[in-house]
Amino acid sequence: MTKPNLKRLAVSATLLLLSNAAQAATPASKVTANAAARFLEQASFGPIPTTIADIQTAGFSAWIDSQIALDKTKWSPIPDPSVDAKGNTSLTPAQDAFFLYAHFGQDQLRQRVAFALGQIWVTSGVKLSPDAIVPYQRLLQADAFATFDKIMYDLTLSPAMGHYLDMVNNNKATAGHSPNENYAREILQLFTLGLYQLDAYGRVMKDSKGVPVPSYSQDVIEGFAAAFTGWTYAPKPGATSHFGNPSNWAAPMVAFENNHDKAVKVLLNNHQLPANQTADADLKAALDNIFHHSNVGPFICRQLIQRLVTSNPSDAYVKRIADVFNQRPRGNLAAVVKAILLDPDARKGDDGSENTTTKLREPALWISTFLRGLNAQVLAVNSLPNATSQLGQNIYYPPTVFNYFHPGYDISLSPTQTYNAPEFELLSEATAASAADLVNTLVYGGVNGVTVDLTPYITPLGLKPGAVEIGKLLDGLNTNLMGGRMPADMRATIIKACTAQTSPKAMAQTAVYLIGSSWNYQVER
Amino acid sequence: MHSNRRNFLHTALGLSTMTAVGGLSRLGMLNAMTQPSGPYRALVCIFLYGGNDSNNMVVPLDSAGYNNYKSIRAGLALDSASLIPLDGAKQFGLHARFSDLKPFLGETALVANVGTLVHPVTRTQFLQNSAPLPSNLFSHADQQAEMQTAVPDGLSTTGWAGRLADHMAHSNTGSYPLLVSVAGNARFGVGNSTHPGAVTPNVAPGLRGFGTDAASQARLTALEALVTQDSLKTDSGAVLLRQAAKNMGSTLNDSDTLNKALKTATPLRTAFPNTSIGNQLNEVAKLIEVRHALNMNRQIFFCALGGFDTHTSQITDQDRLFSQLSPALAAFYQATEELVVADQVTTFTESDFSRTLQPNSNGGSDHAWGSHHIVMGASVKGGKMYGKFPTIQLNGPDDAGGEGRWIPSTSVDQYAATLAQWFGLPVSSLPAVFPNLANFTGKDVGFFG
Repeated sequence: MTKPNLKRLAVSATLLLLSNAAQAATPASKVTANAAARFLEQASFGPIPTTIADIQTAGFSAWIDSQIALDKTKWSPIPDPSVDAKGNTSLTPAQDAFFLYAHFGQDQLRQRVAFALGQIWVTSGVKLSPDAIVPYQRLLQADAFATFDKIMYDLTLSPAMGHYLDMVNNNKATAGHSPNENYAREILQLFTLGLYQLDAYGRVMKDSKGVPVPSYSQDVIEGFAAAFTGWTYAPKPGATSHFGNPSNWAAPMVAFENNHDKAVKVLLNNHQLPANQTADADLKAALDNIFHHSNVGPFICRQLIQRLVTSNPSDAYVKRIADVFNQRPRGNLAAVVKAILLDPDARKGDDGSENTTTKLREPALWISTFLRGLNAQVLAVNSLPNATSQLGQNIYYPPTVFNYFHPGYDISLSPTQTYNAPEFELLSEATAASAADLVNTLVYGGVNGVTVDLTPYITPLGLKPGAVEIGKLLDGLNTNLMGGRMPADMRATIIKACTAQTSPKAMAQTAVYLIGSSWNYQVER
Repeated sequence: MHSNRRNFLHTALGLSTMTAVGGLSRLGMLNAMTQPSGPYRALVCIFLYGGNDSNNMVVPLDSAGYNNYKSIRAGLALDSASLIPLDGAKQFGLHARFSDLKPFLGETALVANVGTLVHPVTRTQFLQNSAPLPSNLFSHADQQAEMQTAVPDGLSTTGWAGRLADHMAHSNTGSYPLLVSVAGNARFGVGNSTHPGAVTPNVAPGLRGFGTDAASQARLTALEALVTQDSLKTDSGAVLLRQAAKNMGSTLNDSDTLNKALKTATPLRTAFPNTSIGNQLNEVAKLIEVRHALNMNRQIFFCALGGFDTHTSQITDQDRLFSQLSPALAAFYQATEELVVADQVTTFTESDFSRTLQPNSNGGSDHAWGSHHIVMGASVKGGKMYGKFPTIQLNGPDDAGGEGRWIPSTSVDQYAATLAQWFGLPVSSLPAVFPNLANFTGKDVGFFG
């Protein structure tokens, strides 16, 4: 891997302290700076002035195209695990780099989509070694804008997934032993279809008695479990290959026909795989059987919308995106992602109006957006992975195959009213306090490898205690952190707290602390 | 932290919770208030995430049962000599890693084949699909939800312990949440009128970084004001914002209350293992210790241990997990003795499901259904197996298919209702907390005698 020379690399950008200045710079643009900032909360790891300006020049659509077309040499390189003297590997370089590249990487949209895909097709360091995780994350990065059938094939045969969900060395049925059902169950339930038949809008279909219609039965799981038998790790170079090869994270799994179940398998929609097919033919046919199921579009698109734009997309929004998924070439994620971001539901609220296109920022996005907004310095070695881990999001280490939070997690608004809000699964009395503490540490102390310098908010404004310039401080922070959406009462409250501070630095710190820890900031809208 | 400020917040939030409570619940609470509270009681749930293979947690020791077990389990079978007999009759043996519980087997009960059910179902009914079944059997997320909510459609947003907390909230004069999770959010603790507290083991509750100086206090005042600001109420799109702010408001109140109470505590002498589950149970013991300072007569706690999804390497993985669970359980029991509440605290396990008795082709077992569970405490009539142990036979009367997925003989509703009644829930309130309980004949599994 190329090691980036990033001793003190930070987002080099000119701070835009005044929103009207930003708008005045591009008078002909239809996209306001605040609208561009809001778009970038969905399409990147947080708005920064240079990218806001790019979007105001190019427009949303052309910016997305340029991100999708970005040359491979511009992708953020995920570093190899480190190895200590005893030969122990560590994922720390890759975890640190997640935040480093979130902060300054050029391939913002690719990183966001890879991060989203990795939260659907979950693997985890809880079970996998660092050597296994890094190639898997590179695969997600490479396939972020691929077609969904390619993603299914690549990830299914990746040794990391093979080990994580036990498809590797899954033997054919023998007396007293059944094929391992783990991968068969989870690829259907979590990665492609979900538990219930969905209509074109992603709504659960019900039978005449009002009971949800399952997508598959236990028999179908057993059919897929048998179809997925016979695969083992690729042989190490020069080694003799046999079923049960030692782990090899560098290459896709390989098939052994003697260990593949040759019986007829019954799959979805009563589709049968004939007897005596090869392991690869069965695998391809089984994945194809899933890929063409009508659930895949709405199931995957709804979750991508949730990860990028809003917790609770409208049925019509899901359908519009699923329709794009169902166009030829089927499952084209580049087209799907573009449609998600340009959809009227996503752009509703760009003018600052009240809207329900909203989600709680997950810890990694909350902190990356905050640091980009503040033009912080982030070093290649940093403690941000530890910081988000305290909030329930340990990068590349989700606790289970169900991710950090379930896409279907609902909060209860009243005994009869629920609201879909996945990220709330991480929010408790304990993590709410930890989140405010993290802002406190960033603003008043320091997180290793991260520097928040508030001088630009102090010196140019001539900020002094009791000065009317506190209003200008709030203007600047409102633009850079909140895209101009700070409510008037929030502003008044923060100005009052700033007025009680005894130094210009303390005023700026107070304002940044109160914004970063506020729910108006942590909830993206 | 100043409590006068907290009171202001509490009033604001308390009002909004009250409006969310339906008239019926309030009536129920009034009725319940006439019930005497009695002495202190606490329930401690340990959720074994991933689906604990209880076939290897407790094994039949009678020769026919063990021989069936051994021949079906093959490579996953445990040596009978390694097992710890649960009682003098040597009918059942615990996994060897539970050796820490040997001194406390008289206070340790096992409950056989507990699981999610709509109502009792036979193998024939299951195979013919002629009886209603819980939704999404064998799926982790759904079965976790159904075990935690005791509602078999998987859709309930409230947990059975949350609803139990709603009905028992009157027992506590303090404002601190009756139910606290030391293992993150879980549906188990969500109530209709009560919210679960959350504590991270070994982390002091509440916010850091505030001094007593005027500048610091002005910043704290502002943070509190942002949680209740008017724009939250008037903005129609601010549903999530309001919910997050409400959580922060209760965080500020509850952490303040807890910090004050914790200052009254003396360190426990009982040593806990320094593991995730050890630290969680240690934290629970500390919260029990300060129950008087919190003005609490009833408490419920939620702990969790993950990693039980043993599709491969089951023997070593489960061994490692039981090696964490067993000493933590023993330490916690000793801590309750130290606090002189051993007969007032009952600890119990739940899990997604058990696993197939028949091994799979790579050293593990797959998702199944009914599971055996541990209940521990000095009020428990231990050294005994309760409920009906399944017939150890593939395609036998208790098998849902041919791989040894036991159809539960005791529903989670019955298991939880037994715990809830000991906790003090009046029989008249059982239907409100356990809406599905009416489908089963016994409301008490009997492990409290």
